[in-house]
Amino acid sequence: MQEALNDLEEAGILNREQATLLRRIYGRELLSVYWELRLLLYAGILILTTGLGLLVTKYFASLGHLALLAVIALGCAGCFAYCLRRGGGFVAEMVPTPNAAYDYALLLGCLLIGIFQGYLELRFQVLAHDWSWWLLGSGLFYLLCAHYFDNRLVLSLALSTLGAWLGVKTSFLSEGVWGASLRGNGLIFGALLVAAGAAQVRLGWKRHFLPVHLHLGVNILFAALVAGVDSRTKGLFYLAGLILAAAGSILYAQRARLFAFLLYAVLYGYLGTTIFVLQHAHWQVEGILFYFLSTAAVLVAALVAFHRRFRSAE
Amino acid sequence: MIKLYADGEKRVQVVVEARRWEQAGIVSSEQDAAIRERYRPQLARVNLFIRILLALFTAVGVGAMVGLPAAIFKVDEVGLTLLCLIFAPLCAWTADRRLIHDRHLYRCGAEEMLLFLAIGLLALAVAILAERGGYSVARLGWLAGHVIALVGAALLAVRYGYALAALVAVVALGELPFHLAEALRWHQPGWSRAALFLLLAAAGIWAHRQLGQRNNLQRSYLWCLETVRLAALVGIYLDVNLFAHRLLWGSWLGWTSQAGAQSWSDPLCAVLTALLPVAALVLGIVRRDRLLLWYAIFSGSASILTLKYFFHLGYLAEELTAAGLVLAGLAFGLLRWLRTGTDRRRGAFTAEPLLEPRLYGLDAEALAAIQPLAPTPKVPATEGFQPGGGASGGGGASGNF
Repeated sequence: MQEALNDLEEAGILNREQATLLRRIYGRELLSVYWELRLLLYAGILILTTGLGLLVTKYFASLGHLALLAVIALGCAGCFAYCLRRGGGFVAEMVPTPNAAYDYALLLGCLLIGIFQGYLELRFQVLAHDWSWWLLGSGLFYLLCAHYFDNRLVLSLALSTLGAWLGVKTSFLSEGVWGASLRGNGLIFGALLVAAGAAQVRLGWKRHFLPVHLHLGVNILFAALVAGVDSRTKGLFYLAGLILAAAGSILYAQRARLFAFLLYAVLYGYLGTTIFVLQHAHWQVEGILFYFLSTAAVLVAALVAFHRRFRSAE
Repeated sequence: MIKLYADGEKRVQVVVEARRWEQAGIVSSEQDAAIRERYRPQLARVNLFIRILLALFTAVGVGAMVGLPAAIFKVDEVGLTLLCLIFAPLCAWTADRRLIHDRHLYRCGAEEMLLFLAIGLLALAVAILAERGGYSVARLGWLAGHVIALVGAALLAVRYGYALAALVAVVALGELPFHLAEALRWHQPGWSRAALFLLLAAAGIWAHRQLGQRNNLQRSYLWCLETVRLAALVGIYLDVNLFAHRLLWGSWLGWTSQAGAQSWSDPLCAVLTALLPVAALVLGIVRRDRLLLWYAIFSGSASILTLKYFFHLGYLAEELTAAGLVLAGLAFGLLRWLRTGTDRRRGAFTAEPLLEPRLYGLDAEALAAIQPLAPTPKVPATEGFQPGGGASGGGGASGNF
């Protein structure tokens, strides 16, 4: 790289200041431990909250319940007080984080709320069989926090908690991992996530949340559609929906140059189509192998054409 | 490495790095465009996600292509071996001649998968043929297949600079003592583990020494050596960590933990479980080596949690709480310490993002923050730069294939 940096500086593409900084970085005179320290902080908070959760279950019989609840609530309040004091309040646009600890203090606060709710339910059985409503409550609270404090980590936590609420709720009603009601919930939840992301962009409100909404929403939507393809009665509708969703995802990938959505569309689309075809066409082994051979050839050719058309590497 | 890659990789590296500079805010998009124009790669590349898809569907296609005649003609082991022996060189030739040398493909998925399949089919051909010779011959046949996979992966790493091939080679090397012991019916897992430790240690030390001259190494070789070193370190850690040892060797592989017979090795394993992260941390700081630092963080966290299998320090709940507090406090303290230094750095280390990648969901907001160490991007003067000329300029090949 040093050779290239010299060349770029001589050619006037890089100014001296830029070239000097890059030389220092590539010469290892300057090393950023940005991600390393965040990883350490993140691991510490996850281990700490796990340990606290275990402590609560271990000592809840010997210590006073109210004392334990008070300690957790205090920790939680401390985290949120720190974030409220350091944060600048709600802004529709992206806000630079005040410092590295800010995001993780918020995450710790949110996780402590989860422990608080879990303890309440474990000891007092406030909602008893309807305990899954805690998930809805905490999911909505996390959503509020994510928007107020402008934090994508907490947004991911909020969306996955809401998804878990939908999943837990229906698992009482139906059997099987992807039963009809769970598929329906998955479809609605995935579509809602995508729609919410699109609406936020249109309204100019936390536009940078779009990738989180889209990645999660598209995957849930595709998974639900693929799960429904083998349905005897509605398989064709699911397949049609899958193909439509895949086409939309490919279009978005091409327009936004985010090729992860191409990957999702092709993988889920191919999986769903293959399940449908193999279920309905009763072929011998030769026929199945020919199907794989021909579809693989077509897809490789299509991907090469796509790359040529949109210069995916640039 | 083949000449095409050796010559073309520098341009690819500059273009890829320039994109990082632009994302980090060190150079402007105009400068990035100018760099891309000057260092336009002669090798054809594709986006990572298209690369994954191309590799996947190439594998599906070749698998079906081998399976189709086998199904139509209902071949036996000899027929299948013949098919593998026909398709293995065909895959290698198509990848090397047609795709790499003729079309200049570089990390496009299809040619990589074809080369891996060539090695796999060759290894499979030997192993399948040996199945006809009875139990003992079959064992030796699979061992020969294993060796072919190891040598083939090493060749791919040397000839094309594939880091994934280097990883496969290290994994195959690590499995070799166990496979050898099984083929020779020598049931001594303890000695196989010792051989694994020695082999991985030798590979790791060799790679680490080679990495000492990193400024003179090709980009691909650098990745290969980093992969070898990291894989060797991870393998050694899994070998000496007693919890991983029981989980891997005891539960997954179904070997009973011969605690009494191997008790002599437990204290040594305990020392290594504690020392490896510390050694990696010290070496990572001294040599400013990012991968060693990552290894130190992961293995250190694992050691904190698993040392209780060697020494009973307390109960899990208290241990986890204390470890979490220590880790979070350490990270927070280091962040503050680095930020209060001159120019927000201490020695060569800074907690500010320089050329750090964007990672979804972790702390992407912080990347948009102002970077005090990065100079303001400046658009170059038009008269100072003529694209396409100069000693290393020009090019003209596109990113297409």
